[in-house]
Amino acid sequence: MRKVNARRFVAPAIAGALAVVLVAFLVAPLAEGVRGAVVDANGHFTLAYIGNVFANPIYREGFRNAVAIGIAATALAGVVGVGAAFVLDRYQIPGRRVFAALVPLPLMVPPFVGAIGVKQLFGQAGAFNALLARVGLMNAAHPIDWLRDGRFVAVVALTALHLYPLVYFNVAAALGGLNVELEEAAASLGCRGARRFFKITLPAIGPSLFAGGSIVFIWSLTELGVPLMCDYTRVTSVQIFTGLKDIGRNPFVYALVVVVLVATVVLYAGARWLAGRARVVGATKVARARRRVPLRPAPRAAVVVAMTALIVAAALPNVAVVLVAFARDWYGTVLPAGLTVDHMRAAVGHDLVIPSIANSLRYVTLSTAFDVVVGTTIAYLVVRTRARLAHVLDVVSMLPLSVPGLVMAFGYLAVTREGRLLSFLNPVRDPTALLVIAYGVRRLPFVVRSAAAGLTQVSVALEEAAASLGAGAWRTLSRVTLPLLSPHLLAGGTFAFALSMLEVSDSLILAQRQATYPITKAIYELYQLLGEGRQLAAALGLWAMAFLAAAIAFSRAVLGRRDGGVFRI
Amino acid sequence: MRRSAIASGAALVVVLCVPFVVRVAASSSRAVVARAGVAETLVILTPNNEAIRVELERGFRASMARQGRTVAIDWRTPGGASEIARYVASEYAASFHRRWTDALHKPWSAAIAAGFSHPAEPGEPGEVADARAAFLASDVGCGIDLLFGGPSPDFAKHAAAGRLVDAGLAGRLPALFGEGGIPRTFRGQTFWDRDGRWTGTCLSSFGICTNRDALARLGVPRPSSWEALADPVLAGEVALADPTKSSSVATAFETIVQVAMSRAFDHARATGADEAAATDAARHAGWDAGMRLIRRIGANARYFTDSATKIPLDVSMGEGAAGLCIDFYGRAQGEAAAAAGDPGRVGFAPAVGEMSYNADPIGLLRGAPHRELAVAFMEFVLSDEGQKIWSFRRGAPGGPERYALRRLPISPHLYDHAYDADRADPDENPYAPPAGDAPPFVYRPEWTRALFGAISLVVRATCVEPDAELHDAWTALVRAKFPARATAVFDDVSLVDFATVNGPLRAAMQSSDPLDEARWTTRLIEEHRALYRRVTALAREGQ
Repeated sequence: MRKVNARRFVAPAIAGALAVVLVAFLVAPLAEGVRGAVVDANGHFTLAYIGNVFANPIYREGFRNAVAIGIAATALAGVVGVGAAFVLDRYQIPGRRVFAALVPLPLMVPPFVGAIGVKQLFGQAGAFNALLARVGLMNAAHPIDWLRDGRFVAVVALTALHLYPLVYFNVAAALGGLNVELEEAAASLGCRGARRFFKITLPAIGPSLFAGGSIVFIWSLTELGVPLMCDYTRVTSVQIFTGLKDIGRNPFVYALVVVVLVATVVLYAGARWLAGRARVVGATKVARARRRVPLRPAPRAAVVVAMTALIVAAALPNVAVVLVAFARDWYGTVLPAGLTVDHMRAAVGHDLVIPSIANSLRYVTLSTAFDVVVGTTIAYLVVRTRARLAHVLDVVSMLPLSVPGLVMAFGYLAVTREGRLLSFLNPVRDPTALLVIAYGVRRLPFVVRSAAAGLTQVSVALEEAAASLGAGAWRTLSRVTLPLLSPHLLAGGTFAFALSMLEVSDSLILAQRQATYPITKAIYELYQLLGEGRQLAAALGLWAMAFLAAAIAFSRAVLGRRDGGVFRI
Repeated sequence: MRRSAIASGAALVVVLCVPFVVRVAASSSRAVVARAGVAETLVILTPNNEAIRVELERGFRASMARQGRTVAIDWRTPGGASEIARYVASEYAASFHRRWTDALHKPWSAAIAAGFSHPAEPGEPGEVADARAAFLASDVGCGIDLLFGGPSPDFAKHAAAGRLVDAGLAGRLPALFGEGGIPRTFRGQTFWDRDGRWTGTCLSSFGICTNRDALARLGVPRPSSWEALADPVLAGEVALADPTKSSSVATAFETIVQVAMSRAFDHARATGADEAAATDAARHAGWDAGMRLIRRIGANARYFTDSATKIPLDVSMGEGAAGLCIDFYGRAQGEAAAAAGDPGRVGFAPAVGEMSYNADPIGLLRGAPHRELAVAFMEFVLSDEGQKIWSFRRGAPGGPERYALRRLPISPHLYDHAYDADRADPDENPYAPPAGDAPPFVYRPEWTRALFGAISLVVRATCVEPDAELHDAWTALVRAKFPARATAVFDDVSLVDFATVNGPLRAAMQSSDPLDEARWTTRLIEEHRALYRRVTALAREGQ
């Protein structure tokens, strides 16, 4: 009896502890970052600044554009991600493993390095126009200004192609764990093809689709890099970014952040409620591996062409970065005019680089561990317990997706200043602890969503069976739940690791001393060098992509085995 | 272990080893700064890039080594100039807050927070004056010795706020700050603070960078004046910077207005007007002409960026035919294109007779923990040894070793012809009279200094924010070949005339309530969006 009582308090106690962590490292810095939105010059509370945001037509238009980008990019990434995951999971196609291995490429490009690549390809004097001119499809005297003239379409397409792996991996993990018998039973009852997909498969992978889709939506709603690259300024994220850079006072930018935060929470909570209404059917983990269906030659060729087109289109920035890194010059031609290893040698051999690699590895390994532990715990509380606080934690843990990095970074600086409660984390002395927390908090949503989706799929019956056979809570968790959850944690953890490695805002602001720079700040520093900065940044960016690709492949090869082939990539 | 695990593990090890291998290979041919045995460390906060940091640190360490001192520099780089300005202000506010409450045991208030680092205002509470006096008498610091690099207006603000203190350089280096040395003001621009709180270390100006091929494609000659940037042929091809994001860019736009005002003034004087009447002409006809020119240049804008390096980079890649550009960025990008085998692709021309030179400053921060070493560094960057690093070719005796910085020295002495062979830009001499007939532009602070922020706000409200509508209006005007009525509406700048900007707009910007400024900004933006839509409609109707 005493044991039962003790267990009843475990979940709320853990939820309480996590709430303290999130308040200290997420809510407090965030509140500090945006307090200017609700406090006037005399220190009094005011809602006038927030009111002004709604009264400003330019801000309203920016928000409408941001929502439109969010919806369009999520729809496109959803269709592409689900399609790719379904095709690679179900059919025998040549090069399947290569396609699957190349899917995460778009997420491995450091943000501003990716912009170098895209402009190199689609700029007025870019490679694509050079190609069109060469084959006679464009008059070279009137080049097409792709990024500027078709801004909305360009932003949506680039964002969706950048983010579709988030949908792909969540859906692939779900498809891998889907009960084969369920679909077979449907087929035996005459439910086949598209009907079976929409009636059986799609509802079953719903939680994972929601996990990926919600992150893609919030990410694209607040995406900064792509609209900035296309000079699309009437979008909320760009308005916030440029407002933060104002040299004069501008409390409205913080008010805008608050509005976006609230909108995100409302939209996310609404989507979660809608997704929760759809019952998940047969979400039992796989009992036996699925056999992939062979395709006839024509459909097989079509699938291979479509997958190749998708992978190549999404990886174009990567390819361009590789070429820029080795190009002697690349201007107005389809391919670089001459190759050199000078940029690579100068960048990778630079004084800044080796310490920054060591620093990044330290920061990112620890922050990913933080994400996996905290994220899995939050997800477990949400899906498996009735702790009321858990749902608040769930929503709060999604906030970092919608907060501009600069706002959080200045919030962290403020709460760790001398004399404040967290002054022991002051980044000037050693930013390790603060960067680990900052990276960890920013990438927490990826692990929470992946783990929650995975837990929804893992049948409670399996855990109950283990318990009925005498396994304790810990033994059930470690021998049943976590092994079944591992593909989802691997997917979420991979994103957390890769995206922390490429985190920009926190790195620029919090790592102030050269000895503590992470790799992204080293790339940024090289980028700032006049003249060859662009090539040097591309060269170091290429190194970062190669490292991430190797690290992800290695983690999959080693960790991917434990799930008994479920995580089939 | 599976084959794939071994293969990917090996790939991971190889990728991780590459930088170490390249580093070892490189270190044999390059002097590596030894970090061992550092006795003293100087802490410098800077937006200056890696090239400047590497070269000046190397020179300073060598200079101090000759005195038997082993020093190192702890560079702090929390972002660009705007992030640094915020960082310094908030660090001093927090630091003084602690001193006021913990050491002086006095209550903190919002009024003190808002007022202790601003000049006295009439009617302010006594506690604010007390706090300001306590701050100015204190050694409150932020653990940093020097603020180095950024726009001089930012330094003037920090100095006025009491965050910078007199380093005593004028007394220590009388030759440099006396007759024949660095002028305190030059053609209206301040090169060092009268109270010694900051001083310029090198000079820079704005000009126009261009892409040869894009200009050839458009069939226009290389623009070398601000007016040339307003040529409708350049629609969508001019890369501009946002004056509300950088004080130095704001100075550039202020100068465009001042040039127009100067012309109106000179014209009025030439036609017999007295000083007062000519000044009146400058403030009305001249101001309006400046605003019209900014609007037309803005209509040609490809974008208004916050990043100074983006413009020469984009122009060099053909993303824009011309751009407003800081001189050394433009020159360095031209050098990079030449080094890549395409000399002449990127050009840079200073706007002769239409631009002034600005100083890139350094200042001693209040409460600097290593004051003596900090002053030694300030003296070094101003010395001939330091000035050569700024301005000499890479590899020239006394010049930079790894990176050519291509900055113009502030010390007039370095422009001696004896150094011509070693300087990276021997043709540039800000102190010499400009070539040709154009008189040098002289900045007149009494005309627009008080409107510095207001001009930036006007550019934002008339060009940056309504960019889409402005672009549409301009495109419609060009297509319709500038019909009279639509053009007249487009050129109507009465919404932002001198009286309005100097009167109610300036008052709103000085108001303690930011909402006053916001209302004005929103109103101006909306009025201009409506104006541009009207121009579009009229032009489409051929009116």
